[in-house]
Amino acid sequence: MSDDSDDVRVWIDQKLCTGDGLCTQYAPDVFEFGGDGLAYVKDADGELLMAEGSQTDVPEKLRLDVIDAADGCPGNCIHVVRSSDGVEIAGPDAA
Amino acid sequence: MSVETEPRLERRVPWFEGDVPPEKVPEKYRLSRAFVPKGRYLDPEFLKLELERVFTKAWLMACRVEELPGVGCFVEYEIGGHSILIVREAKDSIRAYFNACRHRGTRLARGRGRVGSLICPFHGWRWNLDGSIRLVLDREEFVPRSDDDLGLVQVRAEQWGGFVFINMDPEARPLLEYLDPIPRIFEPFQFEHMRYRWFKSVLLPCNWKTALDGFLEAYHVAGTHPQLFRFDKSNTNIASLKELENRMWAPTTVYERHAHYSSVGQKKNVVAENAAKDPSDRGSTEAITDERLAVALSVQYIADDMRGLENERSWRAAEALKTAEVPEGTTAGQHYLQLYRELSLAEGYDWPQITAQQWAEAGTAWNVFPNTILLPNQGSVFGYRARPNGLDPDSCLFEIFSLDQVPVADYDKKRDFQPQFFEDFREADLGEIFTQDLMNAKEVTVGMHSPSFDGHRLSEEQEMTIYNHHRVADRFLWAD
Ligand code: SF4
Ligand code: FES
Ligand SMILES: [Fe+2]
Repeated sequence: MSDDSDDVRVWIDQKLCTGDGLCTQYAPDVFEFGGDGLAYVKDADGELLMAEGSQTDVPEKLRLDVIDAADGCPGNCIHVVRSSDGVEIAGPDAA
Repeated sequence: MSVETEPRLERRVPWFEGDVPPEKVPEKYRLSRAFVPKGRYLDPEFLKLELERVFTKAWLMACRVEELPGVGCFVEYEIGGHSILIVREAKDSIRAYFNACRHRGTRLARGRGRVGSLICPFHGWRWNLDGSIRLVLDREEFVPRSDDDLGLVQVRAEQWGGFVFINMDPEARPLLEYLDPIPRIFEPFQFEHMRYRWFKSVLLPCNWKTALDGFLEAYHVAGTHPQLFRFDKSNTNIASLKELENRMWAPTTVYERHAHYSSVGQKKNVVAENAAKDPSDRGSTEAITDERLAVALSVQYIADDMRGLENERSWRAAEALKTAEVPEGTTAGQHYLQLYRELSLAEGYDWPQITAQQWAEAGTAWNVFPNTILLPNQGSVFGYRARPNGLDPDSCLFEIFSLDQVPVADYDKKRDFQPQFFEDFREADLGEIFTQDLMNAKEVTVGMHSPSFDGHRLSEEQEMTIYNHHRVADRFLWAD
């Protein structure tokens, strides 16, 4: 069992997405392009969550890849937040 | 003891099928027996020819596979005004492209990094990692062009031993054929399981070949590194005549494209005719009669000073040797290798058995034509690379990298790695031995410019690696 306090969720601010695709290289199981060329997050079944700003749970083994994607995202638009309290741990609003 | 004073006349000038006849080479650049005219180092015109005809046609070591751990990782490789991007475009595929936008030519990316797609910084055209065009703004305003025409232009990229080599010539023979016989001979050294310990680039005030030449023979060891076989390594006074008597001898062997030297033992007059590289022979250390201590000190000096070729395991094996019971019929050097092997296996490292025959063929250091040198060794190795710095024949970028074998469990592990650049090698903390080598660069260059100097007069036994480079270069420079 993973420690709950480490669990994270991730969402993309599509308004700022550049469509370059760095996130889909880092974590193709979490990020994918929609038909509009913007990146979206996927749910546990691999369904694209097309509603802007949708959040999805990040499996523990992909956590570092997702954080790296947020750190490298040229649009500065990937937000990784702690599941327990919603505090952003990686992304433009991280401390 | 017999002392040879006359050169052996049956020695032949190296010649391989496909070599260029001397009359095709302009006189000022023409090689003669163990002689290399200085214009091949000093003339800006010659550098231009090298850039046009050698570097655009030869396979060039561009980076290590480990520098491209994830999809989208790239490394820029610059050579003579050309910039090439090496990109991991898929988990199992690395490609190279000319680093030039198809719109108005802009360089697409610099240095190293990781991207999702390649995006031109000028007008924002975009390419997928496989080089196909993804986005042209207002494409309907352009003359209709095929996606093919707009795709990035590929450069050949092939891998060997954990290295990525590139070749700008689409007609070039495959890399493995070009490298022959290196892949066969290096096989037991497992370069593919080596990872960077460090990588340092420095600017040197000499021709790019002068930088390499200093590492293509061990004839300079007695003159440049007199401390190597002394008990007191801090004593760098020039060698006494007595010490010169015990110097190492390192004959060179040339192949069709590549060449190596091999440190085989002490002084040519006392080594056997068919002497070969033996990793248990470390040379003698003056005033030390305990052979264990002599071996241990030379291993540890290399480990501590050069920070490569040896490692912390071989250092510990050397330490254990100092007080070890060496079994009868075994030399201290052989026992040291035994200790190193046991330590390595116990700590999860593979230890391929390398036969005496394989060591003999591997020798000490190889020139991988044109601009790379590799030193095969068990556990840890060195590599050097030199590139011209712009169009100045008297300036080059010289790189040294230290690679270590990793434990079997870590073969697939990704690691962080950053090369370091130093404008001045004296700031690079390279240790005594490398510093001694690099100090020569400027002195050689100043002396070569003297009107009194016409060219290198080479030893036909210990410096033919240098001659061979030029012989092979002629095949690129003056072929029809
Ligand atoms: S890395 Fe950021 S900007 Fe790039 S596609 Fe993903 S979300 Fe969009
Ligand atoms: S030069 Fe690259 S998009 Fe214009
Ligand atoms: Fe040296």
